[in-house]
Amino acid sequence: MSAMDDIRQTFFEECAEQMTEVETGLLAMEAGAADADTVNAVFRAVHSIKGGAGAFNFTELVAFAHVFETTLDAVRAGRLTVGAEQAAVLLRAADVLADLVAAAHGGAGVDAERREASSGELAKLLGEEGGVADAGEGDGMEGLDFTPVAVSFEDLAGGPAGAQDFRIVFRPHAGLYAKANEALRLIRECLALGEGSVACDTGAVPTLDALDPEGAYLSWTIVLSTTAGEAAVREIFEFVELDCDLTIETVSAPSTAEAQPGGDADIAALLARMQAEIAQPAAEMDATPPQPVPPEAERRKTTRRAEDGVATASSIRVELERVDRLIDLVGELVIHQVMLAQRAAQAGLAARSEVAVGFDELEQLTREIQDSVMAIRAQPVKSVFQKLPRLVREVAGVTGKSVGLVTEGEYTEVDKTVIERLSDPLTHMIRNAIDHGIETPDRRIAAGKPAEGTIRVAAMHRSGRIVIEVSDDGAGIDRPVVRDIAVGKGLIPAGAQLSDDETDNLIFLPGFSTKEAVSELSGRGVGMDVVKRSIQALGGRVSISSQPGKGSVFTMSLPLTLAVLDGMVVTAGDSALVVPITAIVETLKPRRGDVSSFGRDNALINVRDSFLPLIDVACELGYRATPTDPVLGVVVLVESDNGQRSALLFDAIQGQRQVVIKSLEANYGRVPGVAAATIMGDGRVALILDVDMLTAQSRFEQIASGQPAFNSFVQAAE
Amino acid sequence: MSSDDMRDATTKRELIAFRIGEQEFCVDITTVREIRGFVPATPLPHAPAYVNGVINLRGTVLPVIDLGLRMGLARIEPTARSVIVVAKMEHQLFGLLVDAVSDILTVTDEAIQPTPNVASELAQSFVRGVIALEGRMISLIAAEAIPPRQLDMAA
Repeated sequence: MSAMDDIRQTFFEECAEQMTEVETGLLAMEAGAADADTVNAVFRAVHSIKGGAGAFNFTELVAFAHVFETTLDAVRAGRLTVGAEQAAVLLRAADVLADLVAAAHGGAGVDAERREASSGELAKLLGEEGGVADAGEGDGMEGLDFTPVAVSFEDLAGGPAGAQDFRIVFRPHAGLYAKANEALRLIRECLALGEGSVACDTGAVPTLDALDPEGAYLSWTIVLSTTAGEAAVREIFEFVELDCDLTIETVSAPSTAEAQPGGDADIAALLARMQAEIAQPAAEMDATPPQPVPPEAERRKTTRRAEDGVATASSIRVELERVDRLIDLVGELVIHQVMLAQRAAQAGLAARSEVAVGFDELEQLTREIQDSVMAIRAQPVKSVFQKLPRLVREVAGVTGKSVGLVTEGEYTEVDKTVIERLSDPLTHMIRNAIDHGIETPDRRIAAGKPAEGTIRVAAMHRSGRIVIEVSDDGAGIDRPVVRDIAVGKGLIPAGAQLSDDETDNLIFLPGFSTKEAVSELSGRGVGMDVVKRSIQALGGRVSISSQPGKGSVFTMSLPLTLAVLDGMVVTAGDSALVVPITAIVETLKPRRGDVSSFGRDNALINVRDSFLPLIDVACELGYRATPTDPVLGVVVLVESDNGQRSALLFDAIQGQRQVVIKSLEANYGRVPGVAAATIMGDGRVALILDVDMLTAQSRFEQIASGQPAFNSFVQAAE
Repeated sequence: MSSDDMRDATTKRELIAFRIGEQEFCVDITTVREIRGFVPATPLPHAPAYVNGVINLRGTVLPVIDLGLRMGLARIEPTARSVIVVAKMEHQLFGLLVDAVSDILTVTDEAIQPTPNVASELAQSFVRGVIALEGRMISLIAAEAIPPRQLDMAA
């Protein structure tokens, strides 16, 4: 069954892509910027989803996709003009479709009411369209009668009894083959329904020099005698209907005899013609006049196909695991290259020797490979941004506010691991901005603002990090209220002097929630403190700035990747450790008078007249039993995410380096005070410190007892 | 893929035998990924004494367990013959530091005698049977019993 699962997986992956296409196209239509290509693209996407869903028997999905597709077809044919209202209906339908896909994938079921409502809306649009069509031109519109196509498969299985004879003329377009359908398979399926014969018409096959290898020149006439009924025959062609000319007519008597011999004779003739062509000397071929220009329509089709070909060839789907493996291996390559270079130097090779020069070149090459491999994982944030319009629509709908969304910099690239974890905090920030930031339309009008609020989400690269700004043009933060709540909840003392900025950032404090009643949206039991924590877990920071009456801007900055980290390599005891650069404020060499004992076995260090706890990291991690003399060591001043500063005492600083992050949890488990591990140039493992935990832990232990809670590990293990 | 000892008595299985101090032990070969020479490990803070630390196994951070200490014997003093047996349980890789690898044994399940009833932690927790071979006594250990439970929880 795993092959089937693979295909299913591919189907859902493709669905995701198609949904993206649908959403993008519909948004363009909403903005009135849609050309025929866009509409076609949306139609094709929905059609493909329907096709795939049919193959997997997702009947609900098929049924809905069909209604959706039908409406889109009307748009495509120009029978239905899309204005703001229609676009809204289509967008809602796209949401329902996405949910149905998710449901088919094993997600939660879809609200039947919503589905019905959307279906109804679509049907209503079509109804309007029908009126127009009747009044306007009547060019074969009747042929596009959709009701019979929405067949249920059960009905088909038990079709009318008694054999009927059909004459099916099937002329595929090139597009049919381009979509990986196979004429032969369809014909075989036809024949499987009953008895019949097939004749191939090769009359349209051009001479060899004019032959487009990807063209479609053959057509077939199938004479079929079956008990399955016409619907069953039509069903076979259901998914290729648009890519072929198909006529199915009932005939009174089987006309096998007339079709059969013609087929063979024609093929024989064609083969003879082809052989003659091939036999022509090359010189003659060259001399033949250029082939006649194909008719306009034909040429357009060819160009389109060529473009499609390029598009598919320019990207491939690769499992993330493989890329990760590659990244691991390249990391290893870098390490080994460094080791080799060191050994060459130890062996006494001169710096200008050919070997040393070779190593330099190798080093450049490996760095380049490393950069390129990291770039494979980089993806535009577009995939996250694409989910936002729907979110904004939904939240705006629930809150009764009118909100527009503007996104910028959606092609800003960032590592896939960051992308994956970006969605939640971003979602929460946008919910918050709409729920708390944007005012209701009447209040906006009263304030002299347009009734529709605007949420702007922008991504950009800034000094080796990605910065994402979520801004709204709402009321801004009501500072007195925020202050009162913070005081009321005991988060700040009543008389505290806070700057505007500090007041704004109070909303990130745990236990702070401005809405009296927990609202359905931003509420959900989590506040901005959770957003802040999840961003910090990614090594990022978030802040807010606000202007009363004008709106607020949330700014989050994240590392471009979670696979590498800029760190300072230090030594504690015999071990090398890495301190993330983002946590470091400054480094200093303590003087004799700076350190003073505090309490039983704590020490404080005086940094420009403020006293900070001094943590001997080697002791803290159990590398050494007794603290070293601080004067012999180096102090690294760090700031934890809650803004508290501490001083970490190490033996020495080795330097700053970019390190590849390796999981310690995969094979071992969490180690208190350690965030992850990395592999150094000498091939040894070094631990990356979790500064927050290290400082918090040290504080906790000192409060709890003199004896560090040495090992929760042992306790759990034994 | 656990070295479960409830198999058909006539099935042959291959075991890797190694030495810790004066005693010989073996584990099922299917749990062993590779055997590599001793390299000094980076100590892990707050780890049990028998966790030697972590080493770099071609880009993977591999915890190394001092199998002697883990089974309540003496700490293994690394020598030139010391090796790290890389074992895999489920999705978790770990290294076992032993004094030396001696043999690959092929035995039938019949040849594996039940663990003698002695009240030692070693016998209770780790040993799943003993094998008599050319006058030597080799204890079969269950690899899944070696990593402490928290390792599993975290993995």
